[in-house]
Amino acid sequence: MALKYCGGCNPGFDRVAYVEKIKSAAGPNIEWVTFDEEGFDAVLLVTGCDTACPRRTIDFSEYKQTLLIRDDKASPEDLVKILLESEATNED
Amino acid sequence: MKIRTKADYVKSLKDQEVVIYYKGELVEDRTTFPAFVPHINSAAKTYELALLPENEDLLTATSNVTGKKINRFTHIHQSVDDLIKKVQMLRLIAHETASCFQRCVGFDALNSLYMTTYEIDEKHKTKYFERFLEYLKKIQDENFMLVGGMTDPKGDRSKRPSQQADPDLFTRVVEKRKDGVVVRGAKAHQTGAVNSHEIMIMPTQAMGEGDEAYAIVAAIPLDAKGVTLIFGRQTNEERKFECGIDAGNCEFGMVGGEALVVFEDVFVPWERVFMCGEIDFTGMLVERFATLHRQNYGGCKGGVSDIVIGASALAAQYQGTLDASHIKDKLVEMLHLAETVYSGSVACSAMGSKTKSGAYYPDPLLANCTKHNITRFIYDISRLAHDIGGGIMATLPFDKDLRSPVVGKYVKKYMKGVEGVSTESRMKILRLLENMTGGTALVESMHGAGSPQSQRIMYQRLGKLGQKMKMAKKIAKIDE
Repeated sequence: MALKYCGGCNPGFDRVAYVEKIKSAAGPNIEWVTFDEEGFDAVLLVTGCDTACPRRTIDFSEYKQTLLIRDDKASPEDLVKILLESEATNED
Repeated sequence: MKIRTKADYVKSLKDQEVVIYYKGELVEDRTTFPAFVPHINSAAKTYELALLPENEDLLTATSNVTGKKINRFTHIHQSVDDLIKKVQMLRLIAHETASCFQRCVGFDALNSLYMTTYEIDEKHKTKYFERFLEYLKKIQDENFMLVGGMTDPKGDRSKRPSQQADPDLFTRVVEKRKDGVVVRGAKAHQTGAVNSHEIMIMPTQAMGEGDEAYAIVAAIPLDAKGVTLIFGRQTNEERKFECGIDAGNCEFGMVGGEALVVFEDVFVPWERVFMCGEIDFTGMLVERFATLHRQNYGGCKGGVSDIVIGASALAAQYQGTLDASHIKDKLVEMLHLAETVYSGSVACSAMGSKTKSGAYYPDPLLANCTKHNITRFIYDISRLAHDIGGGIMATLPFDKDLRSPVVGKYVKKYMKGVEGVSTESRMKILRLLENMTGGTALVESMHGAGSPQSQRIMYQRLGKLGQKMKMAKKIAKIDE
């Protein structure tokens, strides 16, 4: 799973702290890489607001699954379940 | 050296011996001098954040020249998205520093020169663009910090550069040699100069016939022979020496740490000269630099305002007034003003266009409008912060009084607000507000990137008044 953040100009929540919770909930079940690396087919896209800027310039449709996080309302455990189970593409 | 980290940046400054005067005395080590450290910390954020995955989308870009990943402050805008990301980046960094981080001026110099040297060459068959590309590759590779040096001292404003009693009041070429030029003059209130590596000098205004010697653009290392920096005095700056509460924002600077940069017959080799005598392009360069710089202000000042608004709300909370309806209303007004200036920066970026060089350029009318709003709205935001904070902001005892074994108990007792919040926290937030909303910080909002009148001149030029009159006549059915 590749982790991709937006730039964070004015985020509505602490993106890094939230991702740490997701990583912690996932434990060893998910192997995380950066977006610059190769060999992943799913992306966790974490943006600070609904604009989700990376979608302006990056075509995420080429990845098998992209999960977009725009706030910290969902429980990290639920998100991990989605990441592990869903085969849907570009789930929002 | 190639600069990636804050440590690299500080070391690179230490390695360069620059002549800097502070309060009449030569500074021995600019990297440890207490008046400069906060400005270094602010500029260092432009390096540090570029290394963080959660910020790299804004702080880095792909060079159109080399294809490599570079710091955005050395990038040439290749799209509207790049223009918008610039503004977003400035707001982000302002959240980290609550102060100017200085590096946008050199960034704007690079972009304005990229597009202008291209067009000078097209008309005059010169080789400035090619030279400039080599310089750009160097700055993108080494990631050093560049001062954008536009403002000349200007002496008697009613006279042209060549008509001044003292010809050095505008920076000029005093000698042309086979291998380069010799430059004399000065650049006033240069943001970030004491903690930069080089300065790009540019003409301060459109030049006319007879002013050819003043139409000079050149990149000069700040340790070049004949360069002297004199640091500008700021409001309450020596409170930073104490590293306590009274400074308000001890870690980061107040505005950009501006300095007067003097050039006493400084030699510049031709490969670092990007305009020399082309008076017909001075107006274009100044306008482009000004537009690119005015584009920024809703980003950085919007971000700084976010901190002022947060501090105002905390000050109200700490004294039990946060739930008062008039306080809520004032906070809403501050939010409105901050988002309005940010909107201007985003709008002029979204309406940006491609220049002949391929580089993108913000809409100049909207960029001017953005900066003009800054000259008013930051004062309005600061006024509201003073209103919410109360007179105590201006009359608080010293940090040392709080810590005094004799009077400390009185300060703690009588400066306390609501239960559950220490007097120290209350004093910290009030001092932060004081630091951000008065003196030098306000004047910078007025005159940085050009005084209000310079924006009003642009309204006259770009505001399409004639077209508006035609539209009104059409609606009113006037044929004459």
